[in-house]
Amino acid sequence: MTAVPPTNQPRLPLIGFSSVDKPSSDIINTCVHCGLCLPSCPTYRETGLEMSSPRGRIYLMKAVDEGRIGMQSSVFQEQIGQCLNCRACEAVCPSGVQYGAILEASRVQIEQVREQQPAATTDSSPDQLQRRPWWQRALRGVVFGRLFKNMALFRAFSASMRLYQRSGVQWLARKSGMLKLLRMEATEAMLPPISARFTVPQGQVFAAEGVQRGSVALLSGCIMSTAFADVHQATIRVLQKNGIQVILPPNQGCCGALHTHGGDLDGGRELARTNIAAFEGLGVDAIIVNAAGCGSTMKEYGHLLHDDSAWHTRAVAFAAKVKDVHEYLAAIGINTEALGRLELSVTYQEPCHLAHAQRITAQPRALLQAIPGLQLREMPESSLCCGSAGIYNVTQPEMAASLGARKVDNALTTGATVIATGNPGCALQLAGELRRRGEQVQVRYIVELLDEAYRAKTV
Amino acid sequence: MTTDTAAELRSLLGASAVVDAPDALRTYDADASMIAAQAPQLAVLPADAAQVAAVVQLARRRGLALTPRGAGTGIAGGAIPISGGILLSTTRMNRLLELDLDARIARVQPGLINAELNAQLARYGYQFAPDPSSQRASTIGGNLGTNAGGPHCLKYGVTTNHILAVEFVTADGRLLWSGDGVADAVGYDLTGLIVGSEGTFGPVTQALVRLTPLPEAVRVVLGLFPSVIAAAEAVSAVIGAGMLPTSLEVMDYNGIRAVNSAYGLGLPEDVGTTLLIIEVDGLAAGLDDQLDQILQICRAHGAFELRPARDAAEQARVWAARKAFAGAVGRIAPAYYLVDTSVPRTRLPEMMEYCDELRAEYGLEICNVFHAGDGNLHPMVLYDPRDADQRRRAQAIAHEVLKRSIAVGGVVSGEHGIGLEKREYLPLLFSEAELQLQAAVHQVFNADGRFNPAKIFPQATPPAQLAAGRLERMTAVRVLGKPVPEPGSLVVPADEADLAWLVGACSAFGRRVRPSGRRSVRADDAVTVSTAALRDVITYEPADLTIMVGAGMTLAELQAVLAPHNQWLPLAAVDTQLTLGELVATAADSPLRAGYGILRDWVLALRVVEADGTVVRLGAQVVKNVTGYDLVKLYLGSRGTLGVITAVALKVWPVPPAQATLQIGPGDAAWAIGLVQDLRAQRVPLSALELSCDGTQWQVLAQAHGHADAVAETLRRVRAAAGQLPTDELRGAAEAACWEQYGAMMRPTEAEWLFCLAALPSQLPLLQREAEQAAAEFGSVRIQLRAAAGSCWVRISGQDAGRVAQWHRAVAGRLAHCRLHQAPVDYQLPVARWGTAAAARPLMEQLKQAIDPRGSFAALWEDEPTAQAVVREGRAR
Repeated sequence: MTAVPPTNQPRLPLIGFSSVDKPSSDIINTCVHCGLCLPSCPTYRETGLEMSSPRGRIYLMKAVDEGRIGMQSSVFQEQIGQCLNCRACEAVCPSGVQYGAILEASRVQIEQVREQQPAATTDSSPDQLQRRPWWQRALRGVVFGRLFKNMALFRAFSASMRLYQRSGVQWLARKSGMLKLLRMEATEAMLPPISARFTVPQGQVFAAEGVQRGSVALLSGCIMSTAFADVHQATIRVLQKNGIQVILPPNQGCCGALHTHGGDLDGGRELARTNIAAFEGLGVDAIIVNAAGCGSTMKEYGHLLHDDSAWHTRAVAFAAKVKDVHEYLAAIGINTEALGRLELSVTYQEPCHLAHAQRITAQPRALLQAIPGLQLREMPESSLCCGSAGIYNVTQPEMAASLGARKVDNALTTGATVIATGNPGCALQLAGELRRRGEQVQVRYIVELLDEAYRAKTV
Repeated sequence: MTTDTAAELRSLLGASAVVDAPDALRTYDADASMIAAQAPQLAVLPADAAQVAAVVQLARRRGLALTPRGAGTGIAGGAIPISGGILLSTTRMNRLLELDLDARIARVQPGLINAELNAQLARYGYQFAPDPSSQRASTIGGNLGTNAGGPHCLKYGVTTNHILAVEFVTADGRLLWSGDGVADAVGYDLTGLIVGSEGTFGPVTQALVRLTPLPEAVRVVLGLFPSVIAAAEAVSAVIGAGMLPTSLEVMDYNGIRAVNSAYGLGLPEDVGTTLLIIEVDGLAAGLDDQLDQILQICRAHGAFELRPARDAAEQARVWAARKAFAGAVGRIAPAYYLVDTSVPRTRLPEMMEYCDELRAEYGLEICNVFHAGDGNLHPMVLYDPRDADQRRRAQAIAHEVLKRSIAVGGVVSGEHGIGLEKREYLPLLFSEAELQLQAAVHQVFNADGRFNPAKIFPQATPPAQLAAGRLERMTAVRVLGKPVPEPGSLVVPADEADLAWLVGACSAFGRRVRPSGRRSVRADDAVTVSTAALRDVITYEPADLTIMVGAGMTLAELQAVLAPHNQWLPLAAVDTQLTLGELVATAADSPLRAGYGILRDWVLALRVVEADGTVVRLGAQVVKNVTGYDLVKLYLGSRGTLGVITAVALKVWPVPPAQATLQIGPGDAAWAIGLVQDLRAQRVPLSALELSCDGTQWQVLAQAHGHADAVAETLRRVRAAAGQLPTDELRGAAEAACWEQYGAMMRPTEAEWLFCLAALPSQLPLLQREAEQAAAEFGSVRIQLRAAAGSCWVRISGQDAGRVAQWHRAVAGRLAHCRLHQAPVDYQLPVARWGTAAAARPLMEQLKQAIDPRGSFAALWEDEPTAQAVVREGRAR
């Protein structure tokens, strides 16, 4: 931050919210400024700064909404960007402020304005909303516009990453210092070991074991279908073991979470429509999601498409069927007879989009405790964001790193040998931090542990 | 200028600890009150006490205001930097620095969040008892700044009862501890003054907080009543019947509507329906029986449903809903105006009726969710801030509620503070002289008005002006129409007015006034003004559990007034011929402090005659009051140095349904210390835990009060801990006689010495060693150790004064707290009577000077050999 400009200096006209995807004034005004959200906010916990708290950010949105500051405010942009959208504040808000909705809308507003601004120049005032530099725009275009919208392309990209890891190029890149030069060291370190076999949804049907108790469709998603394809296989086996038939509908895609969280609501809407079309009409009991971030996004398709008269009703119907895998398994009551022993001490890291956005906190713990031999050890601040938050690692590397370190510190205090979670972002963040420290602690999905326990029994 | 300041602050604190971007500063322009918006010029986030001191020094050099802020959850505007300047955020000073479970003390930074301190303490079975509804977010610094209350204050008391000492920054930028955590420290109670001073006495940088054992069992019942008035009547009846619940919270139908669905309470929402949350805690033994008695009273007052919370999770949900209530109002209205006031409990139904009248008269909805057990009401006016007329009506309702509250004996604020919100209401409660006294104290801590300016005092009368007015009054030349008492004489005025005139006359004539509760006189140049004739009961409403009496009433007389109502003041083993004035002025304690606390926790209000004869009232006869500074604390234990106490209002207690004492021993010192440490570590809930020694053998006395089953269970635990040693269970007359004898053991004759050595409760072995050394030295020594307080009384008889003086000097050199309570007349003090001078002594002397500028009352360190000369010299100048 720089020196305060004298107040009499003429300022640029304030850029207010546009009417397209505007953060709702009604939601903003629901906030009574009580401050009970503060301690739940990871960025506030790290910085202690009021503007880095949910109350502070809503206050900034209110200031833009009421024309007291403009969107060119660097503080506004920084804070809207720095928010992890973990929605811990939303879960604790007594007044029920729908924070996620106004945060995402604020990001859309910033992106809308950026597109209309002249490109950044080095000597421009920081208090000016700048168009992203060409390479950022190009990267956003490729990533948001192409990669995550076309799963075939995504799988090809993932395969190349696997090649990168296994061919020795990774070794070379790490050793050569090239990554450091490109300032991609932190990002690269998070690159997951990519599964050998990807999950390609082609309408496969996996039959229930024993008497069929239900039928579900599984979202294969983007990163889950490639890097974490093994988790999908574990999910399918666990569901089968519990008498559930699993379908992998074709033509489904990424859930659009990265788009909606990153200020590209239209991109998110396009993907939502794709998925609604792919899943509706299957006649399944539930649409199962094993990544917390995807589940919360899909449960909110109704809100995302609320202005789309052709799709809104379909979106609401779709969203009603979306179930997080832990939520679903706990509700049907899992087959505990068939679980073998796992002599493990496990601590549970709550994905924000499970604990806060979907308010699912008891079920994952219940599933873990159902495994014979497994000892669940609660970590401090288990529901404080780990700093992964989608592409946050890339956009806010420093905050992401300090939150990652805080999370791993908390996890290690328990002495557990396994950190269980249920979201790819968390898994990557935790594994990256553990690897950096040379810790032997493993990161596992809860469904993987369940799968292992079932297999332990049969062996 | 701001740029320079920012640069300097960055060099002091680091770049990330200074905020100067205007848009960022805007987020600091309000707290949860939203009653004004003023951004600071700069905000800083220091990491430790030294950095705060550096910021204060810089603010001083640059002439900038300094406003402290914790989490900004206050609703009286206390953290709004209304004069700009520097905003000092404590959010990065959020560490628990030290935990001493033996002493039951934690040392914390002010930015530590209340709930997080509690989460850490819970692991060891302890809590920091104050639980304001904002505790999830609010900080210890904020809690102590406002002397915060909370739903569980009914049993556990408010923040001031749990703060043992604070480190703060003085106006000239020095760090100073108000005490060291030792109970009954020497000198004025600066800690008690700073708690509740809303940041106007300087930023607090560390605090020593008291830890309270977590209850072993908790029961919560949701009672539903047809009206808020019925619920309020039930509350009054429960307290009147001598029940002591942990919490009695009322939530009317508007409140229920705000939280019902969000917290899954499943309560009816019909108009009128009112929820009473009842909580009892303690040992499981007898708890359900106690609860049943409360529920019966509720039924008799119209409760149509009494639903127990099934388990800890449901209890937690009920409390989460209650504590989130203010925030949840956003669900039913765009804004609220929360009026905070407290009244004598029995006036609650009347206040509720008045709220109904106001609702009809002003056409705005009023929601009542409040701490009924404390008489602390919170009418919440729902309105739309965009409508100017609604805003005006909401303000008008608030004003009317406060006026009525004060008319029935209430106060301007029960627990939220004055801040910006209520500064103009202060004259509703305070006389000009009372405001001036508040201002005089303000000026001692904050003469240039840098700390949290423009708070508490009405805008038209800033504290500097008020204090100047007072000084003028105190030092004015007066013409007296009547003769003034001669030096060395005794006067026993018949009433307060007469007493006030005499004090004023003496002061104007330059005669020293010695307040006394007796009719005896000392041979010196002071006029002894006795309150012995002021023995009336001034107000006593048994169902309020408070009483106000003349300061000349003896403890025996007071207990006799209370006894027919099955109430008492829990002071045992104390000379019952002492007057209330004497007890208060000397801050007397008793063995029962382990279970009930001390006078500091029960004195609600005092009437005091100032040096010029003006009568002021400090505090009010309500159990929760944060209107202005807590001057009662200053006068408690002030030993007649500040004024003559003429009346005392006290919180009193229901006589416990059962009680018993175990006398254990005799044994040696190591055994006795081991046993009490063991009992404390096991958190056995005792009302008294004493060790005593007749010079050779030690014995332990452990007393339990409460439900018969709980008493039996407590004694069982004590016996188990005592093991093979002989125990003698005393009840009834035998028990009373035992404690009477115990008290008499420490009543010295005029030829004897009585000392009190004090340390932390974790330092009992140290105190015991000192006591044993005295026993070895003098032979005829009696010793009593209060295990919970960490104080050790030593009575020495039949000795040569020179030898005692030698020992006295040596002990005072080793222990910071060594007080001499009684000595033969000719005893030559080797060191100050009240112990080694405290670090905060200069500040105490400034307080004395500010309040008694003519020196009409004794100096605080009057008997100190060296100080005496200094004082005389100062006076001559």
